[in-house]
Amino acid sequence: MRQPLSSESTVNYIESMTVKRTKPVSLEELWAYEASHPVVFAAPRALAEARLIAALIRGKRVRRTRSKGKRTFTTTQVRKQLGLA
Amino acid sequence: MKEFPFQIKVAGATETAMLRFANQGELLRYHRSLAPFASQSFTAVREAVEFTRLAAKRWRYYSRADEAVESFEELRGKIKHAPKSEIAFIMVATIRQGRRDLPVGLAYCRRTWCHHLALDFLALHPRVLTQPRQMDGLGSGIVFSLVQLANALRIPRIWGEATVNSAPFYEKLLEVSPVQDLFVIEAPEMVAITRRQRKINAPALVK
Repeated sequence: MRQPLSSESTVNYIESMTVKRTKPVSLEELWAYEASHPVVFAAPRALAEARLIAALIRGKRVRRTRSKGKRTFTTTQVRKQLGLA
Repeated sequence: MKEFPFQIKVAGATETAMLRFANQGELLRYHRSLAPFASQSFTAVREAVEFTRLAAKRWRYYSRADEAVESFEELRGKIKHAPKSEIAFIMVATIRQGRRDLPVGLAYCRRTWCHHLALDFLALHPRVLTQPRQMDGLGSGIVFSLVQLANALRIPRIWGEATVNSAPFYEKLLEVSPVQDLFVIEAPEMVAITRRQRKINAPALVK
């Protein structure tokens, strides 16, 4: 049996979005945290964009390499290959 | 050349690190210095190598479209010339070792059209990550230098997307909670970061 949707929200979103000031964090505490949690951060959108750029560059490089290695044939050579000449 | 100094602790002693704008040559040197770590399986090192390479590729892509800069003066000039433009740049953190500067981390930033600073990548160099507790305060130090850069350009806000890994770091650094998928550094947070950085020179920490 389907449950009726509750009209009352159990989470106060406005309250949860409020950022509160915490007690001062000492230098030692911050450095200890940094030592155990490596500072290597990337914004997800920036990371996605950077990966896309890297893929684009890689794609261009592959196309360039392929076009360099590509052999071209004259019409006569093609006809010979096909046994038409 | 404009540089933004910050204090770190290297093997227990306070040292000054520098954050400065990266140019093509500097990025290439940074890129080459990653090679010995490229095959490591430690997640943080693997990600640091990947993020740095991707950030450099992204920067070069924007550079070809004349949307990236290599110096503070160039950035200021571009803002003056086109106030609504988006400009990308990479800041490299270095420490002095003998007669050369050793790269220890980088930050990829964008000056947005409305004169804010977006932080897209923040990664320490694998040589730092493989020796935990050898250098303390690099990550927070780089952010402190970005605050200095923002002050120099009168940028009122630094922001970025936070992830499940970075959110707790920003909560501690900015002394706010909760940080979800967005962190914002404005005047009060800039003050907190600056206050903490100044404490590094305090006698209690210098041993």
